[in-house]
This record gives sequence, C-alpha cells and structure tokens, in this order.
Amino acid sequence: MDAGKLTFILIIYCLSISNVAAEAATVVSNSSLYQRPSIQSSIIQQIEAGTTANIDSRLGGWKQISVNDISGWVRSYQVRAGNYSHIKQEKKSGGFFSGLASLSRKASGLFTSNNKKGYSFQNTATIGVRGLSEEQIKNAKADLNELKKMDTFRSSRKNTKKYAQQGHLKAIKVSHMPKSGAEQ
Amino acid sequence: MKFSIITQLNLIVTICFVMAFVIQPAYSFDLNNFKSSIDKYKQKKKDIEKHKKSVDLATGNVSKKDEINIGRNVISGLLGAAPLVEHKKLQQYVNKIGSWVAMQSERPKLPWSFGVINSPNVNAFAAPGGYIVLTLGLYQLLENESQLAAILAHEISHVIKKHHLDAIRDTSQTEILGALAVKASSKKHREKMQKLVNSGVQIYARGLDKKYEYGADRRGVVLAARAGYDPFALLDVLTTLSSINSQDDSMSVFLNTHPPLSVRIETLQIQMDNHFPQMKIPADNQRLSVINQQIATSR
Repeated sequence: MDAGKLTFILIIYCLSISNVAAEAATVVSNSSLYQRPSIQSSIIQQIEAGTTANIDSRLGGWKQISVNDISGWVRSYQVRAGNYSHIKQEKKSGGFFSGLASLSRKASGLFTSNNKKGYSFQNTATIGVRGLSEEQIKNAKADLNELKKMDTFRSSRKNTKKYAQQGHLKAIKVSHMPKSGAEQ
Repeated sequence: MKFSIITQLNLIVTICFVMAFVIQPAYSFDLNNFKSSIDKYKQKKKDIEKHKKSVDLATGNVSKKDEINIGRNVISGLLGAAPLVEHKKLQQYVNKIGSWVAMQSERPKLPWSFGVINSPNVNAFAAPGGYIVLTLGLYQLLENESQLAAILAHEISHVIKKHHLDAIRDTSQTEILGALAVKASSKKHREKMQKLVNSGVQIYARGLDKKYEYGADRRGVVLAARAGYDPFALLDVLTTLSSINSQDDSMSVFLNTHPPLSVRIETLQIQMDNHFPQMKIPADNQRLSVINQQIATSR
C-alpha cells in the first residue's frame, strides 16, 4: 500500500472516530420539539435557533435530541451536528441561525475570502474572478478554452462506479414523488 | 388541391428543365443559367429545411445532438463569466459524484460534465445536454458529500426534464435555440455565436419558472436517495442558505431566480415525510472533508 492511500485511510479513520464522539449539536432554526417523529404528535416546547443540544438518534427526516434533559424530536434540518455555542449570541435572521453559513465556509478549510473581491485557495492569490452578478451573466463572453478544460475532467462510467463503491454507496430503487401544489 | 412549397418548387424546376429543352430551338440552351436556377432551388430548399427545423424546435423536438450543442454553447458563456477553479482534484471529485447521481437518472448516457467555477456568488447552473456548474461560493458551504450530491441532483433534474430548453422556447426564442444547436468551431463562427450565447445565457439571469425549481427539488432528492445518499441533505443546504442575510450580494441572483427558501423547505419536507418516513439514513463517508483537506495541504 502506498503512502498516499495509507494517509487517506488514516484521515477517514480519524474523522469517523471524531464523528462518533461528537454528539453535540446546535439548533439552527426556530423549532418545535415534538414528542414523537411526527407533526401529529404533541409539541413539548419551542426551541430557539442557536440553542445547543445533543443528537440521540435519527429516523427519516427527524432527529431525536436532548435539550436541558428534555428529549424530543425535531425536523432533521433544524439541528446540525457541532457545538456552535461560542457564536450563539450572533443575530438571528428570519428564525435561522445566522452563523451557520460562515461556519460552513470556515469548516471547509479550503478557501479564504479576499476582502470581498473574491475567493481563493488558501495561501494563493485570487484566481481571475469575473463574477456572476445579473449584469455579468448577461454580458458574458463564451470561453471555449474553459469548456475544453471542463471536458477533460469527465468521469468514465467505470471510474464512477469504482469511486461510488469506494465511498460505500449502493444504488437503490426509489420511485419519484407526486407533485406538490406549488408545482401544479 | 394543395401543394407544399417544396412540391411547388419541384414543379417549377421541372417545368424550367422541360422548357429549357422545348424552347431550345428558338433560344440556344444556356447551361450557366440552368445551373444557377438549380443552385437557387437548392438554396431555397435549404432555407425551408432550416425553417422546418425551427418549427420542430417549437414543438419540443430537439435531437440529443442539438441539445448537447446548445448546452456546450450556453455553458461556455457561463464559463466566460466565471472560469473553472484551478484544481484538478476538486473538479474530478465533483465529476465523479455528479456522474454517479446522473447514472441513477432517466438519462444516464448523456455526456454528463460538472465543474466548480470561481465565483464567490452562491449558485449552481445546469445547461442542456448534461453540463452543470456550481460556484465556489456554494461549494464551500457544503458540509458533506450528501449535500454536494443534493445540489448536483437538483441540477441534473433540470437537465433531465429539459427545463432550460423549455424556458428558451417559452420566451419565443426558438430561432436562438435553433442557432445555438450549431457546433461552435471556427473563430469566425464563434464571433457570430457570441450574440446567440448571450441570448441563451439570459435565462440564467432571469431564472426559470418557479414550478421547475420545485420540480427539480422533488426529483433531485429521489435521485440522491437512489445513489445511496441522505436525501434530506438538500434540506440542510437550503437551511444553510436561509441563514445568509438576504441583503448579501453573493445571494442576490440566487434569491431573485428561485422560490423563497422557507417555502421550498416546507414543501419538500411535507413531500418527503410521506415518501421516506422510516428511511435509515446512510452515514456520511467523510470524503468531502478529506478531499478539502487534501486540496488545502497540496498547495
């Protein structure tokens, strides 16, 4: 086994361990704590965005959490693993935890903001950012060289399947959902 | 009795041909004139065929080849607005995840191609034929591979349902659609194409009909689930986006071109409650974090 592969496996192992240990979570939008994982069940209490909690289990689109020794269920998207209490006091916008996006950006550890002029890889200069504002999209000039470059990154079916297997991904059969009223 | 234009032209040329010989004793037969008539006829026939093609486009019949060429021209315009992030490993990673999700779709054999483009704005775009890009501003908000798959699955769904072709057609730009179906090759041709590309790209500044966005959410979560990912990850991404101040410049185009995030979350949650009630959520494979770490340390 080469050194690269060994490093990859070690990183995966370390991350898995830290993931198991990290049960601390933060409620990221104003939520109702339900007795059971169903909106038909009774509401135990309301929880404000920014409250810290522990994730105990997960079922479908629900997470079972404990907040100050009270256990109940919230929508899965309303709670996120990770203790963000250090920025708990930040302003909240529209019932959502405003620190979430900036935390995700930082957590990526990959890119740094460059005085709002654009983003760049860490330790490098900003790479020709041209932007995607409405006006810039409308006046964009076709770049066929970039298109050719994009072609070179395509993944063959064989490599795609192999990579999926390495990531423990198994294709399953799922039927499509019926249209909602909003889509009619 | 009704004759089509082609039939009429055929008749005229045939009459010309016969007349040329009949009249020959009186007037000497001019081969050059005859050749010119034939050329004119051919040109006319070509024009009619071209017109017919536009009509076909109007009824929704775009061939796979045309669809791919339209997509290539349109995506080259978006790449002109923001180039690809210069990191091979990142681009290859996004292509592998996107291709795996696309393989679970109804059109697995399109030449699916994915990219991360260098823009701080938060957005993702799909072009006909299987061309999909997301911005660096959006990529760095993602916390795991399921969230990346969720975004790509949403865009893949737009391609599967040909939403952008419909949108161009709906704005009475069938001529543009037809012209965009031509492969841009020579430099001279590219210059002509530029104007058309701009017209095609307009759709991304204007946005799709909101019903298409709800449709892509609905279909996208199913594609992600088929590929073995956590289908609820799209709700996590939408929640992250909801936490960004709506006055933030990076969100302006996205918010102008999509339905309100809170409505998307609520709509999707209700649909998914019924479809995935007892689903055992697969554990994250941690690859996105690993890839990000590898990229960060490799530079």
